[in-house]
Amino acid sequence: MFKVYLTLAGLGFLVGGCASFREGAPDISPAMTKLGQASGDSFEKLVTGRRLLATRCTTCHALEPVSKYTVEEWGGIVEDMADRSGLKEEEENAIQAYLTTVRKTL
Amino acid sequence: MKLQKTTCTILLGISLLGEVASAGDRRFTYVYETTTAAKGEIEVENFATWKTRGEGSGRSNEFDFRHELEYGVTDRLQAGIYVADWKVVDGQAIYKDTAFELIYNMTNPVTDLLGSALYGEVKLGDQLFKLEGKLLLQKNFGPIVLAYNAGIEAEWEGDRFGDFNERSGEFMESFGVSYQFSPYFLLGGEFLHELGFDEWQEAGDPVIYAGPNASFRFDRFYVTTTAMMQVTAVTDEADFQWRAIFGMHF
Repeated sequence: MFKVYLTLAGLGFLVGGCASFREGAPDISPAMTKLGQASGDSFEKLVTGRRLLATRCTTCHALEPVSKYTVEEWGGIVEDMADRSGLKEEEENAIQAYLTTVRKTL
Repeated sequence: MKLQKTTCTILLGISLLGEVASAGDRRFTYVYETTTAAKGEIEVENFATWKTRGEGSGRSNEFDFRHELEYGVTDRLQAGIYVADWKVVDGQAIYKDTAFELIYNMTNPVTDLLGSALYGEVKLGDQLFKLEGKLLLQKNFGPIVLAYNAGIEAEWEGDRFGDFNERSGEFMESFGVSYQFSPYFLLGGEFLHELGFDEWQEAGDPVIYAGPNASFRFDRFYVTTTAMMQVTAVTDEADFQWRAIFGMHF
């Protein structure tokens, strides 16, 4: 019985963690890649932006759903937070590119 | 008096360092998180801890302070120095020790199944030498963060450094849960379990603390605080302890 509880807890851990992560930092779809490239943002830049969003921003707070804010609002938020969290310019640009691309596809 | 002047100088230096600091806001005060400072990033944290024990006129209080400077060596390796651990006794500031720590992040609590890190600390004082190692685990579920630490420490003490005649060990584990109500306010709890081994022989009485935790984030600074009650009945350990960490962003 203990093994069943342990397995269920492990699955809950995996599902719960993944669900909240996917909402705040969705996977990069082919449509997003195409849209990003049209704006001059490479696939690698989008991947970097997603990784930085998931690892650097969450050291202080949970990720907000990308759909919660407009592209313009995200621009202001990232600019403010970059200063507070010490992001380098290229890191800030990568996060901006990722959020802009994701938001446009929602 | 000289010591007080030295302490003031250290505090002033640390305050000035805060002007270039960019600290990650801590959710807990006793439990360490697995995330580390990014490469090249400097973080400054100031700790204040109040411990009290005893009853009536026999009640004693201790006020401990710590000033920590952390540096991201790589995106995964963080080095830290406790510039000064000091305490206030009868209105006098007394220097206790200085420590060095390394935290190596192995997995991320958001992108991996479980966040993990290794923690190592070396502490040097006038009368002590201490080594500490911990395993840090963490998982973020959106606004909910769970963290667990387990570690062991070895301490040598004597009348002066190098002339150690006492040795002891301690196993410790701690657990924390935090819920983010908004990016500016988080509420949770912490749990601490310590088990000492005098002369590395018999285990002493286990000491367990538990209590609520809150973190307030503002534009330029944050405060995280925990109040812990002893839930066991070990009389030579604090009945109650309160800790606050002040971090600044400029």
